[in-house]
Amino acid sequence: MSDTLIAWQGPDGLALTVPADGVLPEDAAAAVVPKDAPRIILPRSALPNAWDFLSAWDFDEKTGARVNIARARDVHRDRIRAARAPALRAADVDFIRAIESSDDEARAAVAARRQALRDLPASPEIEAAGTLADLRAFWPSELLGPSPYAA
Amino acid sequence: MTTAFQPNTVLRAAQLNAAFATKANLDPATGKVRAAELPDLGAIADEALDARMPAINASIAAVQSDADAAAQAAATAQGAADAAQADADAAAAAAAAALAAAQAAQGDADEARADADAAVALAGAAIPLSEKGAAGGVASLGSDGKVPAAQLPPLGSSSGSARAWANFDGRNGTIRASENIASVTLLAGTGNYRVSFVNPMPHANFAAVFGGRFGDEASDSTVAIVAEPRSVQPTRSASHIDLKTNWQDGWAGGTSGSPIHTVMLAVFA
Repeated sequence: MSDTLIAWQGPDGLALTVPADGVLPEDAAAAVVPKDAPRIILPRSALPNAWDFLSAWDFDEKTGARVNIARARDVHRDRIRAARAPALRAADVDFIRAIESSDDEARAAVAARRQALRDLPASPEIEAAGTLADLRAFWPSELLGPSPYAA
Repeated sequence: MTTAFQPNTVLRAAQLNAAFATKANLDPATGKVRAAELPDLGAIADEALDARMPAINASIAAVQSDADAAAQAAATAQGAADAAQADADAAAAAAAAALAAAQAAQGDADEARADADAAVALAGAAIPLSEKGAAGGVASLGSDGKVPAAQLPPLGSSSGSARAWANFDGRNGTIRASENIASVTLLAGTGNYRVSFVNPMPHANFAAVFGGRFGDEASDSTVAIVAEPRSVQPTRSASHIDLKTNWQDGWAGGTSGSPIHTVMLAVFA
């Protein structure tokens, strides 16, 4: 298993090329990376230990890649939106049942839960997060279910 | 008178005759010459001897001289012979030393020849550098001790075997196993991959099948959708194919959700 990668600036952002066993990184780069594209060959261990936020990485000519924390916040918001979708569908069912049963208290509770779900992506904790650890820590499991960051 | 003859004294007949001629009176009683009338043979002998002594002495001296000369000559000859023997001995020793040196040199030469023969044999058995990794030669080994993919023939065939296949981790591009795969590239965006082949396909119209799994790798992973993207052109060539998954690092918007932990690909042509 190759431990060396080529980080390079693709037309749409960072790209990482992983050579197969027996393939020299230079050969892999020559076949994939455009000639004028900035690149760096480096060990995997030199990259950020944040593969769960890979889509928030930017190319860096010195280190290969760095985490863009602003984009990481957006990634985290998208994950919350994705996780709340089934929760909202479940809340819709609960809301209809509360209406059908004329249970105003239940209807209000469902309405509050739905609003909390809607508000989650805009939570100030996300914007205040300065590190990936801060982002991973903000995951209201009572609303969204198990955290995707759990080991 | 008693004549004393010296040993080896020889009286000549003439001397005896003269003596008898002058004194030939015999003793009537005995019929023999009287003793008194006998010549002094000793004196005669002495005289004769004296007369001859110089010659004898001279002869003796001459003989002695000859003997001395002969002895001297013999001594000289002996010296010469000794010297010659010494020279011969020295020459023999020198020859023996030379022979030993020659034999040692011959031994060294034989050993050197054997070494040279061994070196020639070794060189003959060695593979010329120009034949390594070259057509008609032998394959070389990479730093990992394996034959580089570039020196392997195209894998698979049109008879049904895959020409390339891979199993890799969609989260970080780690290639778990593969054949004829040069690299996996995680392109920008979510779930975008480019898989490159070591030996190109014979054409771009190859058939590719995909598969994937996401979720909990240990327990409840789910089938993921893996396909060629429509928005990226070209998505394939003879040397690569682009893939896209809905699930790598993303659920709805493509930037979030459960990561694809396994992406599988097989290519036929």
